[in-house]
Amino acid sequence: MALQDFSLDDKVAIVTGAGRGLGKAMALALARGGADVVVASRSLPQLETVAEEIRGLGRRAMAISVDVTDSGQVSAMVGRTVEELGGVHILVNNAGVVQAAGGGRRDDGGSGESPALEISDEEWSLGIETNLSSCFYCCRAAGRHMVAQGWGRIINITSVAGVRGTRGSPIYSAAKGGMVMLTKALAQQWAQDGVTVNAIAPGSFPWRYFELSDEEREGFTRRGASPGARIPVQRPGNPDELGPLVAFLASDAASYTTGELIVIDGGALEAAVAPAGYVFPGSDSIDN
Amino acid sequence: MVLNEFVLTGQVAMVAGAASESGAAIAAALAEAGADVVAVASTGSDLESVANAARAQGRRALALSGRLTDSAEVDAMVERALAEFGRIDILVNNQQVRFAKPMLDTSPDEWRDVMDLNLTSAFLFCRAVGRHMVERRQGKIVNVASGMGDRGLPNSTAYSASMAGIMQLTSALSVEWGAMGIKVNAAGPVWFQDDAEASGSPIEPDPVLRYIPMRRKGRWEELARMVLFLACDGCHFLTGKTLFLDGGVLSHA
Repeated sequence: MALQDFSLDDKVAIVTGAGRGLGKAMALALARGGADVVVASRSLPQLETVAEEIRGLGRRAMAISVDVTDSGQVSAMVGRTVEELGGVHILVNNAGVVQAAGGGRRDDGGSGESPALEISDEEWSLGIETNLSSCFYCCRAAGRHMVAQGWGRIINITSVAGVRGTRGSPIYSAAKGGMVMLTKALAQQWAQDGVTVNAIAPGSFPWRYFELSDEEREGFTRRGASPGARIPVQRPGNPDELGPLVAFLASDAASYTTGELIVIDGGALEAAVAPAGYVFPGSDSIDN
Repeated sequence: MVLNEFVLTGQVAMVAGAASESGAAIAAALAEAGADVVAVASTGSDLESVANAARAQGRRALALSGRLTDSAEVDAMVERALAEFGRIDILVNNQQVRFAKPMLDTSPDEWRDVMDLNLTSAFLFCRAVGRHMVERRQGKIVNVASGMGDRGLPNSTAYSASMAGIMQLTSALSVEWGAMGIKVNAAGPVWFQDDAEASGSPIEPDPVLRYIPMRRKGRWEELARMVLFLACDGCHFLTGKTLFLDGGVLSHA
C-alpha cells in the first residue's frame, strides 16, 4: 500500500541539533510519522522539552547531550541508542553553527558576513569541525549499524550556502558544500546495502523569526533581513515544512532516491536575481 | 502511523498519461492516499482498469480521453473534470513518449511530435488547470521528467530536450505562481523497469545494471510514491525542483 510505505513505525531515529528550530521540527515530524526519536545536542534542558513532546505523541524518546565534534561522544550516543531503543535506522545530521567570525549573526544584529581576510586558522578549523567533521562522525557511527542490518536512511541538513555562493561565511559555505559531497560519496558506497544518503538544503528558514514579538519582527525586517524578499512564494519557510520532506526521505517510500540534494527554498534558487516584482523583459509578440 | 500531510482525503487529482504502467501506478497511489482521480489519456486508450482500481479504493473516478496535444480538447477535459468534481487539487503530467532515434534520422515532424506530447501537452494542462488553481490560490502540480532531462545518450536528443524543457517549465512556473499558493515540482525517474521486464524475467541480465549503484532498476510504484510526496500538503516551500529517483546514478562520477 502506498501510504503504508510512508510509515516510520518500528524505526529509531537520531536527530542532532534537535533542541530547537529546524532540528526540533524534524524530530517531531519523524515522531508523528511513527518513529522513536533520540534528540541530541549540547543543551540538555532544551532537549528534555522536545523529548517530552515526542513522548506526548506516544513515541519513545531519549535526550542525549553530545558534542558532535568529538567522535568518541558520537559513538557513545549511537551505542546508547542501539542499546536502549533496539537499533538505529534513521539519522538526521542537523547539528551545525553559522560561522560569522568578524561579523556576527545577522539575526543577532551583526552583518552576517565573515570577511575571508579576517578569518583565523582557529575559526576555520572550528567551523569545519562543527559543520562537516561532525556530520562524518555521525554517518560513520550510525552507518556501521545501518550497513550491518541492511536498511538505513541518512539525511544531511546542508544549506543553500553549500550550493551557491554567498557573501556570508566562507567557512560555513565550504563545510556545507562538503556535506553535499559527503552525501553523494556515502550514497555510492552504501547503495547496495539498503542505506540511502540524501541531503536537504533549506533556504530561508529564519526560525527565530516565528518566535519574535511583532516589535522585534519589525526591527528584523528593517535591517534588510526581510524574510520573503526575493523568494517566489513571498514568505520565509516555516520549520514545520521540513517535516513531510524528512519523513518521506526517511521512509520505505523513498527507496530509489539516494545521493540527492533537495533544495527547499520557496523557489528562490529557481528565480533570476532581480528586484521584487521585476518580470522577464522580453517582447510579447513573435515576428518571424 | 503516517504523517497526515500525506493523506489526500477529499482532494481531486488529475493524472494525464494515466494509461501507461507508470500512470496507472501514480493514479493508484493517489487513490490509496485518499484522492478522487481523473484519469486522462490519449484517444483510444484503455482507462477502465485505472478508473476501476481507484473505485475499488472507494474513490470517485473519471476517465477522459482525447488529444492531449490539442489546446481546445485539453481545456474541454479540464472543464469536464471540474463540472464533475468541482475542483482539481493535484495535477500530474505523466504523458510522454520515450522516442529514440539518431539525430540525423529524426525528421522535423518527429521532433515536433515529441515536443508536442512531452512538453507542449504539459504546458496545456498546466495552463488549463492552472486557471482554476490560480483562482483558488492553491494547487499542486507534479510533472514527470526523466534523468534524460539532465544527461544524454546517443539517440536521446529529442527526448532529452523535451525532458529538459519539462524541468525548466517546472522551475520557471514555480517562480511565476509561487505567490499564488501553487507549488510546481517534477519527479525524474532514471533507469526504470519497462513493461516487459516488470511482467516477467528478462531473457538475459541487463548490461545496464552494473552501472546503477543500487544494482537494480526503479519500479513504477517508487515513482508513484515520489509523486504522492510531491502532491502532499504542509510543505509548499518545496517548489520548482526536480527530484530524481536514480538508484544513485546521477551522483556517481
